[in-house]
Amino acid sequence: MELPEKIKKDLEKIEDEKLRKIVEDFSYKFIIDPGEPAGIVAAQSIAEPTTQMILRSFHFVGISAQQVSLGLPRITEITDAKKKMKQRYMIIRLLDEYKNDLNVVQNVAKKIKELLLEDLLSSITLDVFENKIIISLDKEKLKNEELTFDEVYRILKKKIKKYKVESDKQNIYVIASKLSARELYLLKEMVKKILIKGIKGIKDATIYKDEKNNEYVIYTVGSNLLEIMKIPEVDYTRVYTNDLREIEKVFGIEATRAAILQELVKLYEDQGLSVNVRHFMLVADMLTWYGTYLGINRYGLHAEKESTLSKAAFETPISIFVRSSMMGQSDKVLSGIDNVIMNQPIYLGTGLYDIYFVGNKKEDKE
Amino acid sequence: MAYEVYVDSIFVGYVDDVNKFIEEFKEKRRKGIIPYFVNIHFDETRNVIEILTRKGRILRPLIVVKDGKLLLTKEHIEKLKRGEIKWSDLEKEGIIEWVDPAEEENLNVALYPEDIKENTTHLELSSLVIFGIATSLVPFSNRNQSARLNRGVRPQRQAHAIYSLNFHNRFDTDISILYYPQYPITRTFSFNIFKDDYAIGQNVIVAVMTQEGYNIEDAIIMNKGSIDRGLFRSVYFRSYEIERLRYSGGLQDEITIPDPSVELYRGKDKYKNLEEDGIVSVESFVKPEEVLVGRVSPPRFIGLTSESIATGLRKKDSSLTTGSGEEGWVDKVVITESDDGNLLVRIKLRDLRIPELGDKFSVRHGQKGVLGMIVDPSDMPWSSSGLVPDIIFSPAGIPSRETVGLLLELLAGKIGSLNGRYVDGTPWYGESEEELRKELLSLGFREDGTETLYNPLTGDEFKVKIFIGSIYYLRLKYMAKNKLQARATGPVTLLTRQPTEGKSKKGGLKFSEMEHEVLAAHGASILLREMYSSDDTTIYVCEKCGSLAVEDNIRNRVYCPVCGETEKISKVKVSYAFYLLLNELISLGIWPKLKLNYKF
Repeated sequence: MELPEKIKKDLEKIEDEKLRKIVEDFSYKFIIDPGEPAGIVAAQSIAEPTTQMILRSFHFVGISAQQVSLGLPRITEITDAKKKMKQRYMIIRLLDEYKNDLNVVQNVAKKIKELLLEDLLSSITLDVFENKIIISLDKEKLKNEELTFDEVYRILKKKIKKYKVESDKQNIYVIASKLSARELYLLKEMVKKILIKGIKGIKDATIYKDEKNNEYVIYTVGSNLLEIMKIPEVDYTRVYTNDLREIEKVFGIEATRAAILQELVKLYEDQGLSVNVRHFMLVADMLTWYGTYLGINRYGLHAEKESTLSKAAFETPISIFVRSSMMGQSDKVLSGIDNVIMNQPIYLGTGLYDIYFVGNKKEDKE
Repeated sequence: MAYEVYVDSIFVGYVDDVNKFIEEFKEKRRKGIIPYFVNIHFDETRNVIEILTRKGRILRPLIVVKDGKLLLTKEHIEKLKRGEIKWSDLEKEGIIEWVDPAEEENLNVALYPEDIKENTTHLELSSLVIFGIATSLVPFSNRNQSARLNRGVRPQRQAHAIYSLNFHNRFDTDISILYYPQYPITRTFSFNIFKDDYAIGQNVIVAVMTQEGYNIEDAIIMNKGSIDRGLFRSVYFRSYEIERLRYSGGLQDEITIPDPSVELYRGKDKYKNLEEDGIVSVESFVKPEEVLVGRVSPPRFIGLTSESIATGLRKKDSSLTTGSGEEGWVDKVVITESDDGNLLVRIKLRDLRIPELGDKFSVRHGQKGVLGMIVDPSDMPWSSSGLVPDIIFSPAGIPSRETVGLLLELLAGKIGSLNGRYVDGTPWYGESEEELRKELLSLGFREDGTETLYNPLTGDEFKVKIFIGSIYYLRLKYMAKNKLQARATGPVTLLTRQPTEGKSKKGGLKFSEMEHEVLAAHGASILLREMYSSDDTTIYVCEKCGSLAVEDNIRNRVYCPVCGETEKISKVKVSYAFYLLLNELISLGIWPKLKLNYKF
């Protein structure tokens, strides 16, 4: 965050020693006290505005025909670290020399759009007696995609290495003489999904004019970060995807942390709710500090907990108790919920400290 | 293409020309050859014709339109007014048709006569048909937000009223009767139809203003003078019943004043209202948890304990008592027989309910609120004519809820009470706001309904003009007296030894997870422990092996059942729920070991 100009000027006037003192005093304000339950405060500070969000979450930002989950569904998506995200999308920006050239942008958009064999078919049938798959292509569709029959044939021949691929200018044949009928059927389904051109996972690409930065931007349905970044025209420093797992895979855990933070801040800003960014930082830290991106659920963060009692308090207590007892685990009873279960003072706030009184030993014996 | 025809989902045959068939069918129905309540429907997705005759279909009447012309003419209306023809005549002539939801799919219904086009088939009787019984009774409801209309209906069902004239003879469990019910000044078209049942509230003078902040958050302030004069005074009835049961072996309950020697005897004081026959005397005042009917049950042989064998079998008190917080005069006692032929005693208690703090009130526009303060008449604002409002209603509730109907009803009520007439508040067709304003002006008031009021505390004029008028208010069945409950210590549940839940069981208030986190976030650790120490117990733990030790009270010693340790055993204070958890773990085959860190 940039400081306002006026404050900057004021700061220049102050001597270094004094400035240091002011900054120190100021920064001490933001150091939390020992025993302050930062996690609970963060949870409450985030959750309270979220209750107001529920009613407003049914708005969708129109990215072509696609609906992007916002509001509460998106928060659960981030915190649960779901493997299969429902609505993945990317925002692709091009290098400075191309970003205002509509032709280049259109070409890139066309190039990245995924095209599968099944999109070009007029029919695909099995010949069980001769053990071959008969593929016939639709000429109209080929023309629309600016492909020729031979090109598709060549791609198929390249992609299908195990089996023989032949063509008679009308149809393409995949000959797999050793397969049974059932295996042949499975092969057919596989052949249908063969990528002819484009980038896998990018189902649609639309071009929008970004008025603010005065450039053309490509919005995609589906996401494939690594492949998109390889395209020479694309400015790989400014590619955006909402798939946090993909970011983890490509860039690593620190990038994921930053992305989670960015997503959460943006999410609450869009809804017009103000939450201190430090609370989000804590959430982002917690989701990533085990080195992998873990969700807040039974298999994620809760599974990483040390304390058996805290784990059991969350979900499936019996199996957790049984497993812990088989491992011979011990519980030091330090966390909040553990102490509440046993009705002891929790190690937070006033409960963090104890007074020890070493009495006179002689008196003690009496 | 031939289309399949089904009568009540049973296939009957094929039809070639669908439109012709349906038209002929309808023509015959209008002539009376086919009964009125049989409907025909062409399902375009399945391409079949369905003829429906079964019961349970919801039918509604519509006026038939033919070739863009309405069949109902002015002559018909004139004749209807003169009483020469009736509704059934219109049915017979085929002017009015009964349509079910299925047939409606194929129709093209116009809402107003102006909307009729070439392809229109029917006309709605009136736009008012969208209302149900209760919604139609809300005046100026077309000016309200639709969600408020739905909410405004519910108070009408919960209002105190005279619900039946034989309430004296009835034994209802939970019923209130309003002392002085009134008809509303502002009425709707359906009022005359439901007139006999629609005295559910009172017309009160309402000023829309604040007073000392006692009407924030939807609360209302009420004039004590009005309450003393009987405003919203009502009587509350609650009935009880008890049966003299028969048991196997010829034994049976006895209805009598129990002897002090019986088991579970409640103390002499609790039986003081009983007459010699063991039944409470009529018109005596019964306090909470006092006995209404004394009943003694024979001893039960099941579940004999060594104690009961030693002391001998005793009869058991199973009397009928009032619950906690329930009191009143005994209004009626009926001794009769139940379905099984047992003696049955029914008792009705009567309690006077004068409006008090916390009682719920509402208008018919979904603006409900509780009574926040009762003010002496001398402390209520007054107008230049000496008018003192009965209720002060907060203006903060109006802008966000958009209940303009409430404001109009206030205005209309004012005119009605000044002019001595009833105002028609029928949605869309009632008296317009302009007319009402003009009439109010002609009566010598400001046309917007505001007046100069005087501050009761200083005697000065209020700087602003206050909107004041008359509106129909309802007292709802939720009263503070029925909800009031408090507990310091009391009953606990058997399994967890935690306090019970709910008013009837004298329960505590739950301090659950979210509340727990509030205290934790404040770092109030010791207070948090105190909140959860309702089930504190002391357990003994063997320090040597960590398992639970046994306290033997008879031999006065403590020992560990696992390792036999008797010396190194400490007392630990934990919640009973945790002790229970340890025991359940043991039942799972898990040996929980407790390691004690330090002791005080």
